[in-house]
Amino acid sequence: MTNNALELKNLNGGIGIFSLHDINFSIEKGTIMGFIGRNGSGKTTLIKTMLNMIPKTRGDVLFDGTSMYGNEEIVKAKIGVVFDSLIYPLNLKPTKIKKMISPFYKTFDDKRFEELMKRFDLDPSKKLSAYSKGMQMKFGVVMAICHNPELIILDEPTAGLDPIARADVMDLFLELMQKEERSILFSTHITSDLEKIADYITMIDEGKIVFSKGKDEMLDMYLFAHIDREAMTDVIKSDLIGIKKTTFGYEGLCTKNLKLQNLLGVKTARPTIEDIMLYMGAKK
Amino acid sequence: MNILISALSQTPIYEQIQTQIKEMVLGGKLKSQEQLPSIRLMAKDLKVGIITVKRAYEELEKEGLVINLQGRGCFVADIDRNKIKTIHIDMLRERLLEIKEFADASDISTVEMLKVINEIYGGSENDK
Amino acid sequence: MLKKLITYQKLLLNSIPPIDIISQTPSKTLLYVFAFFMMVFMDMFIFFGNTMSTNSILPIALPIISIWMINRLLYGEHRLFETVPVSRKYTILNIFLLSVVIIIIVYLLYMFSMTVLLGIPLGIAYLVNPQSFSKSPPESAFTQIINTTKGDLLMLCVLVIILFTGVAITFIRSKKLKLSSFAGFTVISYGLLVFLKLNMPISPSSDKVEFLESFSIMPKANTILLCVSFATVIICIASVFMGYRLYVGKSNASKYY
Repeated sequence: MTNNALELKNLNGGIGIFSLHDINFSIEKGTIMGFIGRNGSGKTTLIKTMLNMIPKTRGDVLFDGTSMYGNEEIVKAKIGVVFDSLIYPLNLKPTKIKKMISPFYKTFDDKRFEELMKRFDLDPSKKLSAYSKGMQMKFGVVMAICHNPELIILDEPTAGLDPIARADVMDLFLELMQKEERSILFSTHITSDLEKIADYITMIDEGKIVFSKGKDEMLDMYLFAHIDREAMTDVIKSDLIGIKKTTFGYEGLCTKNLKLQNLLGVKTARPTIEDIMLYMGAKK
Repeated sequence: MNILISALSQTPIYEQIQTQIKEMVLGGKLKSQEQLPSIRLMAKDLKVGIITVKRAYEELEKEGLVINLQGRGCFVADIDRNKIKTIHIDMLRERLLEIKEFADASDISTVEMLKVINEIYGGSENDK
Repeated sequence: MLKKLITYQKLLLNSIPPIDIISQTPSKTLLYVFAFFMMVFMDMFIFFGNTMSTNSILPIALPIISIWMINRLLYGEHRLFETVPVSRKYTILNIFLLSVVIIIIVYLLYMFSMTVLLGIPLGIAYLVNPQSFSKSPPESAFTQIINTTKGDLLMLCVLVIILFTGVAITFIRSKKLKLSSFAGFTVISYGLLVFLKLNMPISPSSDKVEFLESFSIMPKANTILLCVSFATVIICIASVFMGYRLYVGKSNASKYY
């Protein structure tokens, strides 16, 4: 029995400019992994490759120890996916879509479906095209979790939602996490969502993994520093990761360094996930 | 449990949880052998990550304030005041090291440092 | 089991993205129109003598439509059918089945619209003037049927060959390779058909070569039909295997990139 809900080993794949190189990371069972990276960094490509919707050229993807390749039937039954745009045909009603999809999942819970539709205030008698974007997204979430998946993969699920709807959906995820072995992979731009709830953060840039670490570990390891122009030296520059010039000096990330922190003209603060993403992904 | 987390604070979230629970224990709001909420429940309530809560509980255990019983939960420990004193003194030592770094970088001598400390402590005595 | 099959077929049908004519680039549209006219021209050249028979156009047009739909299914943005937990083997077999289902659906639509388009004016004409509709002599209708059966069978085999090979080719991911395979296949098939036509005797009912009739009275028609049927079966099985290999892929399927 493995401890990992998801494990990517040396995964290579993708097409053309959207290619992935030697992707290695894993998600511990019962945790939430935040997945960050800018547009075009390979987030969606990786998710689709994981699900074998884009073929891989090398490597393996293991869900709870079972390889995806050759075991689609078993593996996909335990995964729920929500994409950033709706994958269901817009000209159908929710109940019809449910009837079309649920027979393939042994664990599909019809009652849960009704409960969730009600909870999110979704009218099952209206066609999907009559739903607002936020409601369509919520429906996508409903469909993804009604079969009780052990791993939930979310590709920018909250991007089109207003803050209230977003909080609603996040609440649901936290509830879902009450079940011991459930895990969530959460790919998003909105790093503030991850500040509190993520257990681990993985960052991808240009198809490669930049890091995959515990969130607290990352935030403890680095400092966000602001250095006055006069105080800047080459020594400091070499310590900084991802430097940006500002009106008054320079900004960047640095590893925790007591000496640096106490220099005159240097101000440090605990970084946010957004800072990490901005400065670690910046071109050197 | 009345815990307030600020995502934008400079203090790591696990530390915020840890500090607030510690206050409750030392202040008597949480009695000895009382059970803390499960990690998952706490995580959901505070809308934070599970590992964050786990870390908070682990740090509290290190400080000797709680006991983590595998499979049963987290319970407030019988507080050994001496042990806690030792731990707190260690924490103080760490902070003082940071202050020392600052003093060294700002070229403040040991004598000047002690003068300031005396002022702070002397001042509070005068206020009594 | 049957219920699951039907549900999956429904799912596949619903996974075909709707046709969006507006967003096509002008050069692409031009290419489509060009290809369309080329095909019509070739078909007319091969199949038409003095008479036109839809029995010779449909076996080519129907599979092409079906293949086109399957292509849109496989390369759509959100492949809904890939998210549900079914084995890849099941998916492949269902896609081949789907190609046949699409043909049936399109054929039925065609028959229905033809009946409506032609039936209504004809029906009105009949009601208005019943005498102008004379009965056709029964013998010639009978001979008519006999004359083209072999031709029809040939065209059925052609349909199946085009369909299965075409579906297998759609599984090729590299656009260039796929298009060149389609082009190659088209050239070969048309070449064979032209070759066949050139060897056909002239039809007695007119002075030209009528593809379906001429084939039926061709001396070696039976042997040819037998060979083609045999080839059809082999091609079907081979296509499914090839499709499976392409879709499921091995870890070193990278040669298709």
